[in-house]
Parts: sequence; C-alpha cells; structure tokens
Amino acid sequence: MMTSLKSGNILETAAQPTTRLSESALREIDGLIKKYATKRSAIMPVLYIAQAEYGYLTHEAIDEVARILELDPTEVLSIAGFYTLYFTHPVGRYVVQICNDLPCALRGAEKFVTEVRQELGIAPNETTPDGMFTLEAVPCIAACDNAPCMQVNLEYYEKLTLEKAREIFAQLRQAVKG
Amino acid sequence: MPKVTIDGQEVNVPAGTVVVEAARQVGNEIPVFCYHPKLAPVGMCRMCLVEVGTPRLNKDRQVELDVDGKPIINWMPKFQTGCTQVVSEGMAIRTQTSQVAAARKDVLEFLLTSHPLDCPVCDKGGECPLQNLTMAYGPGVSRFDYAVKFHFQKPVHLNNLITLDRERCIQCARCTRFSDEIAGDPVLGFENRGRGMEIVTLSDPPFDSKFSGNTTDICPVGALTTRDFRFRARVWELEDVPSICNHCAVGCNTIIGQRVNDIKRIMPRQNESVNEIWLCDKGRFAHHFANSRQSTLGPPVPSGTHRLETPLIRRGGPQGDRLVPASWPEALKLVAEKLSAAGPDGVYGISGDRLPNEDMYLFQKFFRQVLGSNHLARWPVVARGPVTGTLFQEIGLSSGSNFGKMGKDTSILVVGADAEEEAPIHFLRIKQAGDRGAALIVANPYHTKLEKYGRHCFVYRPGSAAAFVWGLVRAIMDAGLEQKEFLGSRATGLAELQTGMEQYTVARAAELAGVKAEDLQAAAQTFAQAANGVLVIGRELLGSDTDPALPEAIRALLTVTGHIGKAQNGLLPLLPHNNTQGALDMGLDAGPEYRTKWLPGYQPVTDKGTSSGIPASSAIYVIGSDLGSESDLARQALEAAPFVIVQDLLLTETALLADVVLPAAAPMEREGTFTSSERRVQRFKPALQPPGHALPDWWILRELAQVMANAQDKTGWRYDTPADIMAEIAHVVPQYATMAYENLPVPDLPSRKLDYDDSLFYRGTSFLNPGGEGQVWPVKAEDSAVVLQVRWVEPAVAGQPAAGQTWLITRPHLYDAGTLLSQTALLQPQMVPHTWLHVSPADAARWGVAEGAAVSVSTGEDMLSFVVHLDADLPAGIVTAAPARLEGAAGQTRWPVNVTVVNAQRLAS
Amino acid sequence: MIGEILKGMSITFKTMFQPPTTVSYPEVKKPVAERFRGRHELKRYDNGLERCIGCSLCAAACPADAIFVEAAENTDEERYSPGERYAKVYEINMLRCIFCGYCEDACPTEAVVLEKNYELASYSRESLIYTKDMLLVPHPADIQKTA
Repeated sequence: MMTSLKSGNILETAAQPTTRLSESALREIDGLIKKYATKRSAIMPVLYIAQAEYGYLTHEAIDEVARILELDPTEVLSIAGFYTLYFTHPVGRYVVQICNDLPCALRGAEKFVTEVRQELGIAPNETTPDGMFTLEAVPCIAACDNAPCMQVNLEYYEKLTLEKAREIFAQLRQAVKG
Repeated sequence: MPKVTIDGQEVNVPAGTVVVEAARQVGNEIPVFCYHPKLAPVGMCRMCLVEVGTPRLNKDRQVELDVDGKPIINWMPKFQTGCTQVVSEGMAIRTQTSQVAAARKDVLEFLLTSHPLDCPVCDKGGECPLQNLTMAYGPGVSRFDYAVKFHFQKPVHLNNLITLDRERCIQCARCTRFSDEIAGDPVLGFENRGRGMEIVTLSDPPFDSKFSGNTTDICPVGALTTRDFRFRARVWELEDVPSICNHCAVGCNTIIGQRVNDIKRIMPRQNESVNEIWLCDKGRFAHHFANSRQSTLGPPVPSGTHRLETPLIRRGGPQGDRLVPASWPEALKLVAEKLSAAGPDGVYGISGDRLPNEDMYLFQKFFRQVLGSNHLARWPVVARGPVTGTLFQEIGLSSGSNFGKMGKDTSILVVGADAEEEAPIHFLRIKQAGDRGAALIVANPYHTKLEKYGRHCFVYRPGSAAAFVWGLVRAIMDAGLEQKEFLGSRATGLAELQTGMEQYTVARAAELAGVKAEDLQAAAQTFAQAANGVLVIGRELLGSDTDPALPEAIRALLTVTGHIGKAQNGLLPLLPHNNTQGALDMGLDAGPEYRTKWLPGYQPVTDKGTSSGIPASSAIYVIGSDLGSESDLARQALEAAPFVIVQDLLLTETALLADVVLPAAAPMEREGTFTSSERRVQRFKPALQPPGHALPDWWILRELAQVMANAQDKTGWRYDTPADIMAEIAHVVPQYATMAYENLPVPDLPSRKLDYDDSLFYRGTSFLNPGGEGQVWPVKAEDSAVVLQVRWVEPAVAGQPAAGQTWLITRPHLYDAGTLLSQTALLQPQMVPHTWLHVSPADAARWGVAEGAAVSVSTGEDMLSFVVHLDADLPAGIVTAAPARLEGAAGQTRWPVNVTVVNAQRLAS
Repeated sequence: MIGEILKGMSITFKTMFQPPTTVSYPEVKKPVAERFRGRHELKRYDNGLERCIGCSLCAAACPADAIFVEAAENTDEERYSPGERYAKVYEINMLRCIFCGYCEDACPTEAVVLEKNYELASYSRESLIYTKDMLLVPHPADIQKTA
C-alpha cells in the first residue's frame, strides 16, 4: 500500500470513510501541520490529538494519523511505541507510571511497584475494574534523585512511600466523585 | 585526503571516511554489528568502540610536537564509536589496546544478556556475526544468570516470507534502515524501548516490500530468517553454486545453496555493477519450479505441473489420444521424421525468451541449417513492435555504465516503465542514484512508486509517450540546450528535424500528452543540462501498438542532449524476461507479423523463405514457452497444426496440446549464459541434476540435428558443452566476439572464508564475486565514427476513448501468476492473478463496484471477465490488467473498452 | 626329559581345577566397560519428547561423515521435541561409524548416546544404515503397555 501521491488539503485526504477524528480535531491538525516545515514533523502533537479523540492509540487511530501525515503506519507506531505517554492499549482515567530503571530500583522502586500492585490489586499494564487507574512500570521519568517516583497523567509525585501513594489515589478518587 | 594514524600506521583516506572504513585500509578489523557500508551509520550496537585522539594545537593553531618531533595527541577521555566518527587531519586511532579489547568484551557480554543462545536450532548458526565476533572478541563466560533471560513468544511471522525471533534481535536497526533507506518501504519499525524493544510492521499487508529477503542477509543475528530456508539445512552443509537469476532482465548474480539435489536457498552474490549485494524476493524465493515434484511448503502446486522426466508421445488408445511416456530415441526419431516430411516451408519455430543464449543459438541454427527454414519467432510478442532490438544495439546504455556510480551529474528519465514491478533491482539502483543527487524524471500513464523520488513527475495520456518525448526534444531546442559540438560531428538530419518540428511546439506537445507545458520545459532543461543522461523505457512502450514515431523521438532526444555513446549514457529498455536481449541477439527477433527479421548479430535475412504469420498446416516446434495459456490465437494455431513439438520443464497448457513433449533441464541444472537488459553477458553453473531423463535444451537440439544429419548428411553439430556453442557464437555474432567462456569467468567455489577485511560486513550473507562482473557488448553509438541519423516523425494523436469508454492498459507485475512463479506456493499471497482488473477508486465509485466485484470488459472484439481490485494510484479513466492474458499474439498493450458490471459486490471466494 | 614333561603336565593338571577363562559367547556375554562406546541411541525426555532437535552438530562433528540429518519444524498439532525444531530424518551409517563418540560430545541436548550394544553384524549394507526409528528409544508410554 502506498500513501497517496497527491498532496492536498488534509481535510480532503482524511475525509475517507474510516475517519473518526472530529471536524474540530482535523482543523486543529491542519493548523499544526502548517507550523512545521514537513508534515512528518507534526507527528507528536497529532498523536496527542488522536489519543484524546480515540481514548488510546488504536490501530485505526495510527492508520488515520499515518494517512494524514503521509507516512507508513509503522513509522507512526514506532513513535507512539517509544514514548511512554502514548498508549497503544486501553487505559484507565489515570495512568500511574512508576520508573523502575536501575537508579530508581536501587532506591526501592521495585518494592514500591509491588506495593502499589497490591494496593490497586492489578498487575502492570492492567486497569482497575472501575476504570480509574492503569499501572505501568516504565523506564526513566527523569526524577531519579527523588525516587521512588511516579507520574500520574501529567503530574509528578516524588520520594514516595506506600502511605503517600494511598493518599494520592484516595484524593484522585475523591476528585472524580466530587 | 586527511592523513590519520591507526595503531601507529599512517594512512591517507578520503575526507568523510569513518574510522571503521579507515581501519580496514590498514588491515585492522574493527568489529561491528549495526554498521553496514550500504547504510547510513547510527552507532547503535557500540561494538566498534575505539580510542580516538586529535593532535594538540598551540595558540597559533599549529600542531604541537613532542621531543621526538611527533605530534602530541589529545586522547578523548572516552571511547568513540568507530562507525560514526569521521576522520580528520592528524587523527590518531587505537584499535588494539587492552582497554578497547575490554570494551568489546563488555559490549558482547551485554548483547548476550538477552540472547537466547539457541544457536543449534538457529538458521543463522554457522554464518552468524554474533557467533563469530563472540568467538573472536567476547567473554568466555557471562556474569549474568542464564535463567533470567528476557523471553518472547517465538517465532513471529512478519509476512509470509520472513520470520522474526524477537529474543535473538540485538536491535542494530539494519533491517529498518534497509527498508527505509534502500528499499524505500518504511514498513519496519521499532516499538517500545529498552529490553522490550521489538521490530514491528503495521503495513497492510504486513512487511509490504519486494525486497524483504535482504533483511535476512544483513541481519547480524538470527532474528530475521526466511521461511523458505527455515530449518531446511545447516549452512555449512550447503554446496554453494554461482548462478544468475532467471526471472527478470536485470541479471542479478546469485548463489544457489544446494544439498542432496535440492535447492535450499538462493542468496545474492555481490556484483557492484549489477545487483550490488541485493536480490528481490522473487529472485530469492521463486526457485521451486525446479523441484516442483517435491514442493514441501504450503498447499500442493496444481496437478499436472510437476517436472517432466521422460519424453511423451501422443498415442491413440481406448481412452482416446493421450500423452504417454516414451524413450528418447523413439521421440527424437518421430520428431525427425515429421520435421523432414514437413519440409522447410511446413515448419515454424517459436522460442521463449528465458532460455540461455547457447540454446537459442542452436534452436535458430537447427531451423536455418538443418531444416533450411527461416520460420522463427520469439514469444512473447513484447519488444517486437516499433521499439526494437536494433534501436537498443544502436543507442543502448553504453558499456561501462553503472547505476551504482550515478549521482549529481546524472539525470535518469523513466518513461512508460514501472521499474519496481518490471525490474526491481533496477528500481532500487535508480532510487539510490536519486538519493545521491541524480535528477529523476518519471513519466507514466499511471502513478508508480518511483515518483516518490522523482524531481519531475508526469502522468501522460495513454498512448502519448511519443508526443511527450518529442515535447522534451522541442523544449530542449527552444532553450538552445542541444549539444551543438556533439551534433556537428555525430548527427545528421538536424536541420530537417528543426523544420519538421516547426509546428510542433511545446504547448502542442503538452496538450497531446495531457501535461503542463512549463513542467515539460523544466524537465527538458534538467535532462539536457545533466552531464550524463539515461533514458529508461518499460513494457508500456515495447508493445506492437506503440507509436512508430517513438523510436525516432527517443533517438532524437538522446542525440540532441549528447547522452549517447559514453559511459553512464544511453537507452535502457526494461525487457520482459531474463534473456529477451539474448533472443534478439541470437536472431530470434520477428515483427508482430511473425516475419523473421534478423540472423544472429542483427545480420539481415536475405532468404526469401520468411513467412508472414504462422503458416497454416505447418509443424510447430515450441521451446521454453507457454504461449498456449497466454493467447487464444496461439492456442488455435497449435490446435490446428498437424504436428506440435513442445520442449519445456513442466506439462504446461501448451505441452498438453503437443504431439511430442520433450523434457528439458531447468537453468539451474545446466551451464549457460544470459544477456541482461544492459546487454551484460553473464555465465552460470549447474547446481542440480535434471530430474529423470530430462536434458538441457542444447543437448536435445544437438541430438535431434544428429539424427536428422544421418538422413541428410549434414555435419558440424559436435558440441560437447555449452562452451563449444559459445565459442561458435563468438565467431558468428560480432557483438559476442569476446564472449568465449574463458573471458566470462565464474568463481569456482565462492568461499565463505573470504579476505578478512571484505568479509567484515558480508560474512555468510552475501558473497564476493572475484571472477568478474560479466561483459557488456558495446553499442554502435560508442564508435565515434558512427553518425546518427535523426528524423522527424509526427507523433500520432493518441485517440480518446469514446464517451463511456475507459482505457485498458496492460501493466506488468513482479508477482505475475505465470507458469514458473505459480510453482512457488510460498509466494501465493503476493501473486497478482491474471483475472484482476485494477480500477481507480474514482472509477469504482462511478460504476458502484467494490473490491472483488465481477465485471466484464469489452474491447469491441473480445469480451473478458475480470475481478475488480482497487488501486489508489491509478488515475480515473484507466484500468489495467496483467499482460499475459491480453497482449497475446498481436502484442497490443492498449484498448478503449466498455466496462460492464456483472456483480457489484465482493464475490465469495 | 621326563622331568620337563612332568613339569608341563603339572601346569595342565593345576589349571584343570580352575574356572575356565573362555566365555561361551553368545550364550554368555561379558560386561563392557563403563565408558564403552557401542551402538547409538537417540534418547527421550521423561515426558516422551525426543531430545534431538535436528541441529546437525553430530553430523558436523563426525570425522567419518556417517551421520545424515534433515530437520523440520514442530507444530502444536505434531510435536516431536521441545522447541521449534526436530529431526525429520536421522540416519547413521554403521559401516562408516568409527565409534569415536564425537557425536555424543557435540550434542547440545544429550540426545545421541553411544550405548553398550556391540552386536551390529548384518548380511546387507543397506540394513546397516540405521534410521531414526531404529535409533530412537521407545516412548515411555509404549514401554508401560508392553510391561
């Protein structure tokens, strides 16, 4: 399969039967592409938009981004697969990412991951039954100095203990209810 | 040329050389995994760590010297990767220190932490760079626990040809870089990172590339292996035989890995003038026709297509006429009797264009000398139209040309050719030339993959190629870019050309071709201003319905630009089969009207005995062609003929119509030569024993001639080997004067134990070609005494289809479901069936048809049924189909047709 | 002279009461040494799967070129050995074999073992090419059935 050889307005290109991106998202993408020298360069922000619209980056979402940016889906997946904040599988409302790379592991991250697993009752890459939390053990979130550390969506929490984590999870649950 | 010091040895290397390459020049190996000389360096594997230092400079930017007068070196505090570090003046490099050895040992220990060490079951075992470098540089033991290795489910089939073992991958990215940079198919990528990093493909179909097999060659571990070779032998058990690919006219050099009279695998053999170190998947996997008796992969091949092992003779019986096995003497006697009885005017010979030169030469000699008949033709009819072999031998791509050396100073104009489908390795090398800066100009009636790399791209109206090329000529003349000096001494007819073209303005050409005039002018300028220019034409322009003005336009274009008669210049036709050029050279050419045109070496036929069309009621001798399945007209002729002899590998549809079937040996079962599109004559060696009583074609012809000679007292058929035949060809065909076998060396046994430095990157994967790169015979234009005649011939106005009609164009596909390719079950998913009609999405919407819908196509004379296959790269108003069913006996490539929808929905398959 | 005869006969007389040294083969068989290298066997794991993975290393190590192996791929439906690969064809030409034991040394899975059997004589050359069926030890389930 070749990407289309005729480059035109992406609204036209994307206006194919399989499109799931909303009109406003497509317009936003169109604006983003104009900021870059090549379409390919817009891949990361476009993936964020697609992730927001699809919930996570489904095969379909990746195909659609690839079509818009005139790339092969494999190239798009390579980017999505590399970064820990793009999700290629269904995730909960909050994604709890705990670094267990060597420096963090030396400061007890392995143990912390196990504790959080038990607390949430799920294994890494699983989502709690209420759809609130997805647990992920990830390489490096650039906060080794304050390990164990975790990133919940875009928020950082450092120098953690199980008690602190419990508090944070409770607050988040509360926030959703309230 | 910076001067660098490597382990105390001074060496001058070209600027831009990386340390790994510089070290090779002094004979020091720096081990690598991710570095590959054909790919851009990335520095991923860290195996090439070396110590690097630069001379210390004083305040005046002068090199400081020590007491011995030697420059003081500032050694970099850490190791540098030799594959990414570019040399600079005075640089010092240490590759042999104990620190470097320790670094290599550590890198290997890390690479092996996740490696499964399943070498005994790994197909790479025995030719694996990871094995070899671990033996040479690695630690004897690992400090990591064997029990905690990272495990993946294995294997993963990336596509139907390539298997991935994720545990073995060392993440060197050679495969992904090959796919991106060389093949232009960015369909392999890495997902995830760290230890979880794995190769993925998301294309549809997966790993959609015609070059996927090459990734298994360059993979430095057993992560990527082919399904064809999977567990079929250990590499040290194979006998490697040098061969030439027999599928398309590129003439790729190959190695056949043989064991117990069975082809286990085919790999590329390095020839930097032809295929470098690459091979397309068709060349690599489509070898199963040779062993179609014992196909072990996938579904069984269609019955009746197993290899012929004995001669067959049609005999009457209780169940009617049947082909029954017979002995050779019996079959030859019958053939000799029938041919003698038929007389010179009652015989007709048809040769396929896949046979080696020696066999084709003997076939025409048998007809002309023994039978005294000139009733000969070549099948298929392609390249029997206005653009002919004589044009190729006049202005063809000059000898010494090499796509691998084309760059900024070259422009490559591709007209009417889908290079990737017709000649994949030519596509690869044209694309590579474009990447090096050559200006690619691509013009076709539909979009092709090469357009992605084209500087100027055109989609011209079907049938207007001549108008397009004349437009380029006019634009060049208008801009005054013609090579006046060259024209003055080498061409005549220029003044007449100018007067003739007066009315034919660029605007007129643009209108006829359906392209923009300014684009035409820009492309003309690019092509004329390049120091070197190559014109590549393809199947679309080789039909019999091609505008007769086209050869004149091509000659004029190459002459006015001076892109003629010197290396890296000329015309390259992408011919349909591996030895079409050889068939032309051996005097098997005929016009579309089936009248023989030439004797071997393009010497004119003076004999009056040539016929027009296949004479009715003549005995037909078909050698190496399945024309009966390709053309109804040919089928009718065969059915009507009183006696039909078919000499082939398989019991084809044509063979089923025969009175005598003679079993022939496949190319890999005998010795011979093929001539590629570039007119490169290359020799190959036998790898297998022919099955049963099958014999090489030349052998059969010799025996037959001897049987007939007894009756007619003719001698001179004493050939013991193909070398004897080639010696005679060298004597008879002027172009082949230097082509005797002693001048076409083939490596006797391409050794796996190559020179150390050269084996660095190719070890076990592809093979050096020390025996030579074949010989290209020079074209007429290379002789500076030859004056070229340019002539203005008004291009025909390409007809427009009537309202409601569509253009149907024949379009070749690499995986054309032909007789030989169908034998490879492994490639079935790639196959393009002859029943497919490629339709643009716009036309499909207009007719309301979906993928898989049934339609019937009427050309006015014929009605054909097709299955719709959507193709986003086709412009509206054009549908295409495989040539095999359409071109037929007339060699036509284009029809205005009416498309009728039979069933708009997908057919149940 | 009589003395010499008597001396000789005394030895005869003495040995008459000692047990015979000759073994009446084939009725009686002598035990072989612990490290004796006799006829090969292809071993199985306890679960009945073949140990041999068809890697051909025995054939590569064989100085007499007596071993021929052709491998194939295991499938879930048809599984012969653990992992991906098994030996579809495994033949040892006993006429060529020099019983050096290199094959045993080369085997990464301890599948081929030179056992104690040394009775290999036969009337035809063909029958001395031992196939996989002949070399493979019986499946544990089959042994139980016959027991």
